[in-house]
Amino acid sequence: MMEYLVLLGVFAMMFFLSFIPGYLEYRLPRDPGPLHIDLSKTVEPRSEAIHFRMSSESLAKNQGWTPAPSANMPQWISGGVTYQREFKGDKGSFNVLRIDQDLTIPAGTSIESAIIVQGNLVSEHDCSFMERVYVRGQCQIGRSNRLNSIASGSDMTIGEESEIFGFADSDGDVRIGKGCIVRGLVGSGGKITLEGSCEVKKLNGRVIVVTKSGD
Amino acid sequence: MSLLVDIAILVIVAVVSAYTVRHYRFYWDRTFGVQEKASQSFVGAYAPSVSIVCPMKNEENVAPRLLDSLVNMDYPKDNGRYEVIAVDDNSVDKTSEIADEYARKYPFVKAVHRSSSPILSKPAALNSGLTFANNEIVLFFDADYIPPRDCVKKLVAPFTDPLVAGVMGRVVPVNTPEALVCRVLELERAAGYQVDQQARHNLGLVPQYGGTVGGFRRSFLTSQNGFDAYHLAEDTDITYRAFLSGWKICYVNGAECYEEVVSQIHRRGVQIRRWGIGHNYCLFDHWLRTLKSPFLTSWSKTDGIMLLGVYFMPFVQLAGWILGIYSYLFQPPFWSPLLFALFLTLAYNVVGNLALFSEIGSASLLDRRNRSVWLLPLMLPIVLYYVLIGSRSFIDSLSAHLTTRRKKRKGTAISQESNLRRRSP
Repeated sequence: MMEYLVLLGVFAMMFFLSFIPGYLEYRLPRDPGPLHIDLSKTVEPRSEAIHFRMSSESLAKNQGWTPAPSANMPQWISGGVTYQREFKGDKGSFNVLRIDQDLTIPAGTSIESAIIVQGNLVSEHDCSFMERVYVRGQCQIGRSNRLNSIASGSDMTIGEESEIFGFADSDGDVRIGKGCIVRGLVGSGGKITLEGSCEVKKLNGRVIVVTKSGD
Repeated sequence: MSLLVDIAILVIVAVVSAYTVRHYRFYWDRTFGVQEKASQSFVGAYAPSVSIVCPMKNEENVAPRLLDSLVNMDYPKDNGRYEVIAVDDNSVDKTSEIADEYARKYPFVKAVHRSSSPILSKPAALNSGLTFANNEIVLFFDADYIPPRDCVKKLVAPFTDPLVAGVMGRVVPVNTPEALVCRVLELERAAGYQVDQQARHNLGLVPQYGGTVGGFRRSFLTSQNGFDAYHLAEDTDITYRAFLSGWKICYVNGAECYEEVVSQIHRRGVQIRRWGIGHNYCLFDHWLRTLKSPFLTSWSKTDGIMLLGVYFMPFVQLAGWILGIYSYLFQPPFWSPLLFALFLTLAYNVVGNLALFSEIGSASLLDRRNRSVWLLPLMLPIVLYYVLIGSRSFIDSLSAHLTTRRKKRKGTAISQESNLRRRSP
């Protein structure tokens, strides 16, 4: 008889033990409020690029930039007004360069940092941009470039045979060259012109024009 | 007698096992599978004309909040592309004036008053709203809901697929700090939507339209003559009518909307009982048609019938417990205790439409609410309560159904409503 009572006691204790965490959460709640829903959030097809542009603008104005030591900078950047800082994103930290003037990138250059160009950007052929690029002014990407994602505040031209793994977005007009591949959204506040046989996942612009090739 | 009891227990264990497997399949799919996002890549780019119908009965405290959310909705409002229809369903408070005030203030808001309607029910109010809806898609929001600004754009995106008749969004309790019951109901809701509905959508089964935060093509509703005004579960009924006509319903997990849940357990019991009665009517009406449907795959038929049976399961559980205890005490062959233990273990996972325990755990982790899951053991007494309430609702609906059939055979016209009014709370 005693064994049964002990067994019952142990069972009852284990049963009630399971309620202790619940009691603790009830008395000292860590998840008390409702699941968060942003009631004012709106949906824009270009929201990712717009968010990127706004955060780049905000980042450019923030403190924490240090002048880039010109000795460690590549030839094409040295002499420019350049700053750098570490940035912690969702996928780890990476280096960001801020260039406060127009920038021309020579052919075959590979850039591992994210870049914020406060002026205009021109890249020659066969350049690679491993992280995102934000250009406040106009942007002219050369032939056979490879980019992560790019956004600009003014007109943007992507040279033929280039490949963009994310979005290409501009407040001005966007021109995508023949044979380009854009795996994300091409967005524009104005006109998008697609030349010839490009491959684009999504388009969002006021006017979309498809030409034969460079018309 | 003993053989009959053994067979009954075996059948019950088999049924409960099937539901357990279903729950674990959903849990696995939602936690580790590829998630189907119901045309959400079209969100913002696709904006068909939309009418939003809001039934309101004595909702003066919450109606302005809902109408404010709807008039501020991020949706193009040009050329009548967006309209809000506030249906005042015989309110005796200030709901009527509130609806009129919004209609005066905003050109796209209409106020509909049902002051002398012969049928007093939510589906009848929805049908009244539907007659004033002019647009291609009709969405429904109850008065105590708070949709975010992007909700409508997300809900209409699946209609890019011409085979989609309806959509359902995710419901999230907003008043969780109010009472412990609300927090437990939040767990239930999370599992039911975040895991159960999403998994059914992923697997191409039968996602359910839940009566609010969702809607249909107007052409589909018109073809079905609207909602069944006498039904206590018009949402489940219309879901099955869509699937049985070859249409699809999509679940959009990202279209989240706040709701107020009941904060007292006895009021929850009243809800469960009403839903149970209505849902069981759908079981009686649709199980055979689901089985015979040429439009559904065999898995969809299986899921469809199991979904119809969710408010039958509490009765099965109760029967299992009673027979199990009887068998254990009075005719114990060596396997009786084992079978009973197996039944209890499986039963822990399957009650009503509550996607329990594993699904709640998964949903809490997906929502990053790791501490909420500590409240999970509290589901145990609530499950016991649901088993009793659910069993009673099954007996009520079965008896009402049989009465209706008997009277139909005798040629007496009788509505579900008149039967259920006598029985439902």
